[in-house]
Amino acid sequence: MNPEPFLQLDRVVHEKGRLAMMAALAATPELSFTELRDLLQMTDGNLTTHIRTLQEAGFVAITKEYRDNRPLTTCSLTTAGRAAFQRHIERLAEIVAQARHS
Amino acid sequence: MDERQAAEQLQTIRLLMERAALYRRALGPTLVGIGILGMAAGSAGAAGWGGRGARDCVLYWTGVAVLAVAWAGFRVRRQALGAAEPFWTPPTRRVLSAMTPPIAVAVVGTALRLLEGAPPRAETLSGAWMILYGLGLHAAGHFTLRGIRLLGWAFIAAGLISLGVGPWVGGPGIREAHLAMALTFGLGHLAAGAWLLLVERKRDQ
Repeated sequence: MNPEPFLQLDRVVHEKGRLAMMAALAATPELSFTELRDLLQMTDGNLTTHIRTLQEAGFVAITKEYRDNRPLTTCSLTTAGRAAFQRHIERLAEIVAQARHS
Repeated sequence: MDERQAAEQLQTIRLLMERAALYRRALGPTLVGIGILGMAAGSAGAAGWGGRGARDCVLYWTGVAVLAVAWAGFRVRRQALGAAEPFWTPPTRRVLSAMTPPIAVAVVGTALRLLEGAPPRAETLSGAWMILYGLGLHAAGHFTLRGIRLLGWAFIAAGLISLGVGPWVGGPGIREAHLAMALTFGLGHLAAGAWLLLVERKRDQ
C-alpha cells in the first residue's frame, strides 16, 4: 500500500474536533461561536482551544463585534483553510480508494 | 488510519456539512402563532368580517399575511437576540430565498388579476395560494427540518383538492373560501407548530 496519502494528512486538520469545525465552516460562509458550539456540542473552553489552533495555522478567521450591545464572535474559513480542508478530503478519499483497489 | 476510519471520517464530514447549512431556530412557537391567527381570521371571515366579494377576501387575507410575517419576523429576531446571533444568518437567507419565488408568484399573480378588473373566484384564489405556499414550504424544507417539507406537501394537496372539488360542488362561495383558509393556514399551521414544539422540546432535553 502506498503510504503517501497517510503522510500528507495535515495534523492540524486531522484532529477530530478541528476537522468537525472545519467541515461545519466549509458548508456555510460563517458561523457564530454559539452556533458552532451548539452544532458540535463542544464546551466553550474546548471550542476556544480549537479555534485558537486553527487561527494560528491561518485556517480560520475570527471577527469580534458588538451587535445590539452584545458581543458577537463569528468564525469563517480562510482561503488557506478551505484549501487545507479540500486537500484533507482528497487524502481521505485516496485512502478509501486505495484500500478498495488493493 | 485505515480505510474504515477514513470512510467514517468522510461520512461524519458530510453529515456535519449538511447540518451546518440547516436552519435550526425553533419554528414551533412561530407556527403555533400563525395557526391561531389563521384560525381566528378564517372564522371571522366566514362569519362575515372578511367582506363580501373576492376583492375584499384578497385584501382581508393580505392583511392577515402581513400580520403573520410580522409575527414570524418578531419571533426570529427575538431568538437571534437571545442567542446573541445575527438575524441574517446564511441558513435564514437560504430558507427565505427558497420561499420567495412561489410567494412572489402568488402576490404578483393576485395583484395582476385584481388590476385586470375581473374579480377572481375566491375558491380558485385560496386554492392557488395553498399550492404556491406549499411549494415555498417544500423548497424551504430542504434547508430546515424535514417536517416543513411534509407541511408543504400537505398545503399542495389541500390546494389541489380545493381547486378540484370547487367545480363539483357548484363553486363554493366566499364563506367556504374563508373556512378553507382557516382549515389550512390556521389548523394546518397549528398542528404542525404543536408537533414541532414537541420535537424541539425533546431536542432541547
